[in-house]
Amino acid sequence: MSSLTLRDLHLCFEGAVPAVIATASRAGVPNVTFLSRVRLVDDERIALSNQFFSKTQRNLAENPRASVLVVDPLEYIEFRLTLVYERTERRGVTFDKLKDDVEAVAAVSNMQKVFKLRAADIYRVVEIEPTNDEPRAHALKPREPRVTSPAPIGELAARLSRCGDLDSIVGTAVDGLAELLGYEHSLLLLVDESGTRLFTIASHGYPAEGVGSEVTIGEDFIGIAAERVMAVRVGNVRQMLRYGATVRRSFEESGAIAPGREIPVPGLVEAESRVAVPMLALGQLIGMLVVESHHKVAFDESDEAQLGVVASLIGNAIEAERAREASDPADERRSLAPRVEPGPESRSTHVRFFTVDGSTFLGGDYLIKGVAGRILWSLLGHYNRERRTDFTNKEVRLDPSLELPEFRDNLDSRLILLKRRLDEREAAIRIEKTGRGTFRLHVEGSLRLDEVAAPSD
Amino acid sequence: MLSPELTAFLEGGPGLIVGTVGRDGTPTATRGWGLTVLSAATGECRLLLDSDAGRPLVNLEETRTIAVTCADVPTFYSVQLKGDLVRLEEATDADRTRSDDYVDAFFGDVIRTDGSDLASLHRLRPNNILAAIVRFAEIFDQTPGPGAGCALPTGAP
Repeated sequence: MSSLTLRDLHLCFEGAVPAVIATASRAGVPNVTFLSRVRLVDDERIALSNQFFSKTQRNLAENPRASVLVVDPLEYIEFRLTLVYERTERRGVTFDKLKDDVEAVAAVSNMQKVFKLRAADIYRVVEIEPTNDEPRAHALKPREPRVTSPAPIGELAARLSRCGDLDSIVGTAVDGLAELLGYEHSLLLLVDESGTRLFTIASHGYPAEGVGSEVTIGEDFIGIAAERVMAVRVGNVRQMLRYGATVRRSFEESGAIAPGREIPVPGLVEAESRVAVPMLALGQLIGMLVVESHHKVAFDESDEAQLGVVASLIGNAIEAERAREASDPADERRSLAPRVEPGPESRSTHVRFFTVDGSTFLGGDYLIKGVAGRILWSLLGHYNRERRTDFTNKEVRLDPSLELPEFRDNLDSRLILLKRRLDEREAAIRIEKTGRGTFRLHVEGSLRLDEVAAPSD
Repeated sequence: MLSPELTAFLEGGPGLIVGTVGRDGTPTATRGWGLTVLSAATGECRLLLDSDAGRPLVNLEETRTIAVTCADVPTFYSVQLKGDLVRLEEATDADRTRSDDYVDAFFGDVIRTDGSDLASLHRLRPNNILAAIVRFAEIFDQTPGPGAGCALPTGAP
C-alpha cells in the first residue's frame, strides 16, 4: 500500500462526486457501475450501501474483490481503491450512517416506502493508488476542522442570553450565525401546534426572508432529521436531488410507486451543502436549525458539533421564553383601553380570508395561512369593529375562533411569524411588540375585509 | 446491435467508466475518454483509454473481457455494454481530436449540472491516450433503480 491512508482521502467519501465500482463474476466477466454512497468506516475499511439485489452484489458473492474509483471533490484527484469484501452489517453505527444517506435521498424524492437500505457491505482496502496527478495526491492532507475556536460561539451564547422575547431570540440567532460564525444562509424552523410540521420563523441570507414556509416532519432531509431528532449533513444536495429523481422515475416505471409530487424545500435554490440540526429542550423537539452553502462539501463534522451547541442554546432560550410567557401575569395587568390610530386614508388594503385553511391575501398577494392567518383575521375584525389597536397574548389565546390547543399553543411563535411576514412585505398592516405579552396593531389607511367561506358541498 | 439512438447517446459525451478483470480474477476500474461506434451492426467500437492506466490495460491484454457503462450526467440514464477486446492501438490525431470533443461535451455537462470548476476537472484528464477496439455483445440498462442490470435486447435507449 502507498503512504496514503483512507483518512487522507476523507473528502472523497462525502458523496460529492459519484464513486465507481468494478466487480467480476466467478467466470471473469467484469461489471462496472456508479455507487450511490461510500462511507469511511475506519483506517482500513469502507462501507458501500446495498439497496438492490444488483449484479454487483451477485458478483461479490462469487468473487469478493472489487475496485473503486473515488474523487477528492476539492482537488479533483482520483484514487483507485482495491477492496476485499469482509462482512455485511444490518445494524450498528455504520449501517445507521448509510441508512441516513439513503433515507435522505428517499425523503427528498418521496419514495421512503420503496427506497431503503438493505445492508451495509464492509470492505477492507488493500491498496490506494492515485490515478492522476501523483505529486499532488501524495501532498494531500486531511482538511483542518473548520471550527477551531470556542470564542464566537461564546459571544453568540452571551447575546442570546440577553434576549428578552422570542422575536429577538430568533433574530439574534440567525444574525449571530452569520456575523459571528460565518453561516451566511440559515433557517430556523419551529414545530407547529400539531407536532407534524415545521414552519420557518426566521432566516438569514435569502433573497426573500421566506418565513412561513413549511416542511412536514418525516419529509425531505430537514423533516427526516426532525423525525429522527438527529443532525443530517449533506455536501452534494444537487446531485442527491438528481439521483433521487432518477431512482424515483425507475420505481414509477416498474409500478412499485405511483407518480408523485416533488417536495419543495425552503432554502437556497441551488444549495450544494446543507446541515440540519434539531433544537431540543427538556428532551422535546422545539424545531430545526438549518445552514446552507452554494459550495460543495462546505461543512464538516466540526460544523455539525458547533451547530448542535447553537441549536441547543436557541431551543432552550425559546422554551424558557415560552414558559415565562405561559406563567407571566403581566399581560393581564396592562391597560387595554382601545386606541384609535386612524391612518391616512390614501392607502386602502383589501384583505381576503379563506375560512377553509386560514389563507390570507393582502391585495392579490398571498400572506400567510393557518393559525397565523386566523390570528390576523381576528385582530383586523377587532380593529374594524372597535378601532382597537392594543392587544394581549392572553386574550388572543382565549379567542375560540383560533382553535388553539391548550398545551403548547405556539401563539408567540405565530405572532412573530405574522409580524415578520408583514414586515417582509412592507404591508400597510404591521404588528409591534409593546411589552411582555402585549402588542399593537398598526394599520395605515383603510381596510376592506372579505371573508371567503368554504364551499357548502 | 446498436440502434441509432443508442449510438448517438454513446458518442455524445456521457460519463464513461470501464471495468476490466485480470487473469487472477481481480477487477479494476478506470475511465474512458471517448467512444466511437465503428459498426452498429456488429457492436464494434473504438474506446479511448488512458495509455498510462497501467493495470486495466494489462488486464485487457490478459483476459480481453471488458465492461463499459455510459451515463448521462444530468439524468443518470445509463447503459452498460459488455464484450471483448479486439486489439489495442496507438492513438491517432483523429483520436486525440475525438477525445478533445468528448472532454468538452462531458465536462460541459458536469459543469452545467453541478457547477464544478473546469480547470479542476481537467486534472482528471489523462496526458496520453490509446485506442481499444472492442466488440460489444451485450447491453444492459444501468440507470439507478430497481431495473438496473436488466438486459436490453434491442439496444434501444
